[in-house]
Amino acid sequence: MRTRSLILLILALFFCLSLFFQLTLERARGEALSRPPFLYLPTGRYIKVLSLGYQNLAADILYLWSIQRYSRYEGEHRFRYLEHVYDMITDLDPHYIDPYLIGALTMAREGSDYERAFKLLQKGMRNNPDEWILPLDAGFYALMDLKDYSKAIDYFMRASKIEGCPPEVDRLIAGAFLRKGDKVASLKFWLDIYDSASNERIKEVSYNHIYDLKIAIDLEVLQKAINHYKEKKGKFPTSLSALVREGFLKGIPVDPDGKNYEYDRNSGKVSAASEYRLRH
Amino acid sequence: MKVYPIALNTFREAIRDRILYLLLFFALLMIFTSRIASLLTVGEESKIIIDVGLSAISFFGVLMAILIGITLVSREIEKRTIYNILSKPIRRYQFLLGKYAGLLLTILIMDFIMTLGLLLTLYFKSGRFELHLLLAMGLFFCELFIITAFAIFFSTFTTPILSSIFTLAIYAVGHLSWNLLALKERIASFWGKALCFMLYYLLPNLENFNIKNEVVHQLTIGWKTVLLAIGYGISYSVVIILLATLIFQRRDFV
Amino acid sequence: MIPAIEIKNLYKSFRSGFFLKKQLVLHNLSLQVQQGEAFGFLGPNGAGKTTTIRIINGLSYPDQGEVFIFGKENTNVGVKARVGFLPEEPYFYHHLTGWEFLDFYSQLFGYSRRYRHKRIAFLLELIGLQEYADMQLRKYSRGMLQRIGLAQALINDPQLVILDEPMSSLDPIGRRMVRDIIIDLGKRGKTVFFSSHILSDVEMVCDRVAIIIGGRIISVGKIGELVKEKVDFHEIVLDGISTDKLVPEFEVISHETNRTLIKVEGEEGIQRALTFIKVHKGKVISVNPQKKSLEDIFIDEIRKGGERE
Repeated sequence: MRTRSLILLILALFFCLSLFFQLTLERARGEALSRPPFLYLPTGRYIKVLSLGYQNLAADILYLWSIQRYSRYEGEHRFRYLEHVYDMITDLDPHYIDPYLIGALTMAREGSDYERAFKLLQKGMRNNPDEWILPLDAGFYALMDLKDYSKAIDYFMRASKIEGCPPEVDRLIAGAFLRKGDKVASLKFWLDIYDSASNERIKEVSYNHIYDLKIAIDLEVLQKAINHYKEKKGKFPTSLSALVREGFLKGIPVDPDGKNYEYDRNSGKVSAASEYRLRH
Repeated sequence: MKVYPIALNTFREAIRDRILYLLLFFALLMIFTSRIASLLTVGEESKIIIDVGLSAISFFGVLMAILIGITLVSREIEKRTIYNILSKPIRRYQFLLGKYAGLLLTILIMDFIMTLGLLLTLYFKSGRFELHLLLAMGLFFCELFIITAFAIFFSTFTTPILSSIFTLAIYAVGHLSWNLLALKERIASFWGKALCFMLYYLLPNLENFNIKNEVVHQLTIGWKTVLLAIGYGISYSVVIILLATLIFQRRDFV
Repeated sequence: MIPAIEIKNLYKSFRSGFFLKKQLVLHNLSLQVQQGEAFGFLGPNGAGKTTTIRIINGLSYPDQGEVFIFGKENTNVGVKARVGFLPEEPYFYHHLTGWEFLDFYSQLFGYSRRYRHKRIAFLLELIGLQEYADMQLRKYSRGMLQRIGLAQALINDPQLVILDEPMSSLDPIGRRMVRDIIIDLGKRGKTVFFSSHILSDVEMVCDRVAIIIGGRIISVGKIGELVKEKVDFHEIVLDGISTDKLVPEFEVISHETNRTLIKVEGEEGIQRALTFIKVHKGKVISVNPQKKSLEDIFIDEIRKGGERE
């Protein structure tokens, strides 16, 4: 019994000693987590072999780890290996969608590295052509963050072609076309939306857009014809019907409410009689 | 010194075990073939050799420590050779210490051979001996102190299969335990935090010995860090061996 | 004189599984072995012999009770230096040669190299394995292993030798050798404590025996006394009387065409039988006194034990 308590005492002593070493080490090495431990990780393909068939599990573990790691606010250097880490995770389990989304999110919003975010999402699209969320997400980044509307339209179009994609994506496309300045294309999409609308609310919203776009497009067309007229004849036309008579316009459009557009022959400007939102 | 003959006998038994040579063979094979793998890469060829080599050494080193560590203690109990030994004027803790020492000696020699294989492979590649690798191997050996201690600890009270599973688990946990600290930050409840904290400091922290990364990229490693890691390795293994002794002391051999 | 082994009120139980009931293996076992005697520990398989021996050697711990060897606690390391032990069905390090094997154990006693060499050479000759000293134990036969195990038990020239079933796996020559070694140890004043379930092994060698059945000591004593204590009986071979007549009166053991064997107990039994045969005009062929052997005592006790339970 005496030896037993002696052993216990020595045991406790050495445990304290090991604690001391551990704590000092942590201080010496700095914050235990500030080391970039993935600097040395091999690529996903290698890990796939090493994981002995448990690559899904390995991907899960890495993914969980990455979330813990990248959701802390620390120094900027922690984003240095982001691409490698998510590449590895998605190599391990190419059909695991979350890492693409979260990886892209972290790269884009935290690391401000959109090029890599798109690269990751592209990889996801290659591996998972049936997942509409990937191109949709990419489209969002292009639309909201980069204001690269053509790119956004490309991605949204891609998403909309995939089965199961929510029909709302058409509205995004229409909106993106509008922001890009292509009102005609935008109108076309809104008309489609209107035709296929499943409820009154959508019908109303799309009608409003169509209404506004129609007026805006008409005004543009009219204004263009007027300006053309001015160039050719050296003066503004006396009325809108003069444009048709002299072959500058095929016909005079009316606004969606059936009212005529107003024309001021002194300033050469057309305007809508009805209220619409795309006045600028 | 009654520990010495037991250590020597353990060593003799280990090096006459075929499984050891099988593992050694595969380790060396992996190290040598890394030379071929390095031909496929562009740029740092010796990095690949070092990467594969160090990984092979640590992987097979741990495997050896676990398999041999467990079979050598369990076999004594299972084959009842321990009856003969313990009826001699020797204390049970002396027996355990002898086993531990013999195992460490075996593993040290095996590690040495594997490291030599790596150094030679690198020598044929680059024409010089990359002696800074020895530091990584030295610290890795400290890690094996702990792994072997656990192998002995578990085999004092469970079957060989369970012991090897437990020891492997400790190896894995030991390399991942720092995640517990991260987890602690994210858990809101006090008890959860306390549990993470306790587990983190109770479980072995094997990442302390991992300087492969620094070695490959030839970063400077503070001597203080190395000495602290060695101190940690030794004191932690003493704790485990003492625990094993406590259990072994009361074990009934029937 | 201090007894070589003194066992006081030993209790030991095992739980074979986690949820299983405890099984009492040793029940208030007390025993004294005097210095210099050859003591036989007898009992059928599963009686608790091996458990007792393991407790004596400190391999297993009793639930209750104490064991003293030469007056000291059995776990005392100093006392262990004076004891030699051969376990039941011993297993050995297959990777060692015979010589290395003995050398390993002798190193545990801290002997000098020179003494070890002398001692090992002597023991190898004693057990007749000199020629196999450099062969790995994995190539030894069972009998050879048992012999080298015996040598291992004698490595420290112990004053007390404990042998668990030393003859169980030996051929007749091996048995003879072990018997001679035990007798020789006795002559040199050593104490030998050995267990067996084969009585003939014990009868010829032991001064005293203890019989253990079901974890209890049934009887202890000199073999002569133990055997004499039990009443002799006689077997009478007779002819000319039909079994039908004999059966109600006597215990008929066997019957052939012109020979019937009956068993009678005591002097008065013989007289009764002889009168009976005379009355029925039978013929007595022979009257054979039968001593009860240890084997019979054994069987009797087990039977009694069975009835008790």
